[in-house]
Amino acid sequence: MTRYVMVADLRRCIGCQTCTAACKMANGTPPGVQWRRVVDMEMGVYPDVKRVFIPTGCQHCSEPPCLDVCPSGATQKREDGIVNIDYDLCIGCASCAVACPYGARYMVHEEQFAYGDKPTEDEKVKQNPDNIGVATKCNFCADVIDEGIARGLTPGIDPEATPRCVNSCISGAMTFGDIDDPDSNVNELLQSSKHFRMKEEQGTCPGFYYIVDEA
Amino acid sequence: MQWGAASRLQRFWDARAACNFIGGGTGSGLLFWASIGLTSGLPYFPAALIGLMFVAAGLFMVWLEIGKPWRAFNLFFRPQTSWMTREGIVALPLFAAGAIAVLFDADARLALNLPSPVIPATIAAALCLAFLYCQLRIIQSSKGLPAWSESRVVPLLGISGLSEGLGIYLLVTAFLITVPIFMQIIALTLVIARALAWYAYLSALARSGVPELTMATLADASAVFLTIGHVLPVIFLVLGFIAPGVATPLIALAGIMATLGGWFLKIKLVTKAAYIPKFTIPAAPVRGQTG
Repeated sequence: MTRYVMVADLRRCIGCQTCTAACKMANGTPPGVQWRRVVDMEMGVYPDVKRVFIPTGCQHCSEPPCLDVCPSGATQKREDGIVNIDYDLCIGCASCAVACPYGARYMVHEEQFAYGDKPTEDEKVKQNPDNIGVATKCNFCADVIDEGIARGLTPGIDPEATPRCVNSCISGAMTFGDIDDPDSNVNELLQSSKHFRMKEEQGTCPGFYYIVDEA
Repeated sequence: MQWGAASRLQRFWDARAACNFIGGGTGSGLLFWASIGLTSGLPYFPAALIGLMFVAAGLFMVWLEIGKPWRAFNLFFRPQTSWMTREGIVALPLFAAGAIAVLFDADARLALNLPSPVIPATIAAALCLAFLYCQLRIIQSSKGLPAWSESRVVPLLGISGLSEGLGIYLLVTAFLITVPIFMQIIALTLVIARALAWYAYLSALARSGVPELTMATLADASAVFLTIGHVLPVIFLVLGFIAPGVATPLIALAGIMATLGGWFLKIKLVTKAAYIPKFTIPAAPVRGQTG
């Protein structure tokens, strides 16, 4: 079996938001919609305060709460663990959006553009009008992964088969790979580090790991 | 502050969604009590018809809310797990049974020699409970929002739906007949039960560490909710017992208040109290070791 997961090394993330920009460029998401975001958090109490950057988005849970509540079957989980939305099936009821503990889903009800009321040349090409009025979210660049695999490439190793946010990360904080492969890059990272998953107590079994220290 | 570092109010479901829960709760409650009343020889037709209209209005509001209303039929595609699908499936026979029961009951005036409405009304009552339960589970399955996913929201809104339905039933029937004492006692019991369910819900939320803004919103709403939906109805119902001569308007007022209290709760719960909790991490990253 294959289960693709994301690993974010919080020691390395500098909060530059390049992953966010790469995602927006690739997917043409409208203003305010960030399938890949970086949360800028403060921890501790003055004067012992730390600033932490947390890349986040859909956690591609093994037990996704968004899946069960979806009445149309638009939210689906692939065999490789990627949680995807069929935008042609979605009715835009937002049940998934209120079920997601990670706030990873977005809905826009009318076309929005970055500059004024007319699309830029890039938005003309990339914005998908079918995504208006439906729930949208990160899909781990499933199109890139599928095309890469079809060409015999390895997701997480070969950039042509790897999510754009990972490819764009300037500090090497983000890693993508198959956690079911004991020799994979993500397994190697996780075995050598202390890590956690967000809101794991909710039983969602997220596919997004955060490294905080060496093992 | 940026969402994630701070909690965020959900804006996916607005007052239209709240109206769905209002219409569904009140309408199914009303149909249920109309069926109970029917078995005791009380009028069915007006209350049941209004109940069906409430349910239909609630579903219409949710139809207005969804992003792709012309794909609404897709709603029926996942009965295995989705309570919204199940709600839609239950709604169809509910309307059929309710409409048949209303028609049969109206036959007293139409003289078409139709069968007794008791059987379809009983089926409609059972489907109402199923419909109400589906709505409660829709709310509770919203794992992203502690105010909704807390399990005690189910008894709270379940009792509230029945209270709202009985409230409208009292309002409608009080001016048609003398409301039997057992209905007034049920109303009193439901209102008290809802207050207890409210406190149980609040204390469970407080224990589970929900966003502060959720607790603050609900605490602010509590006084109004308890006064309108509980204290006033109890006063009016008790006065109705004491002074039977003016019982009719008092019972009707109690019904209105009990219903308004429930509606107020749902509006607050859906549009004001539903915060997605902020992210928390168990430990800060240890920097300076990764080169």
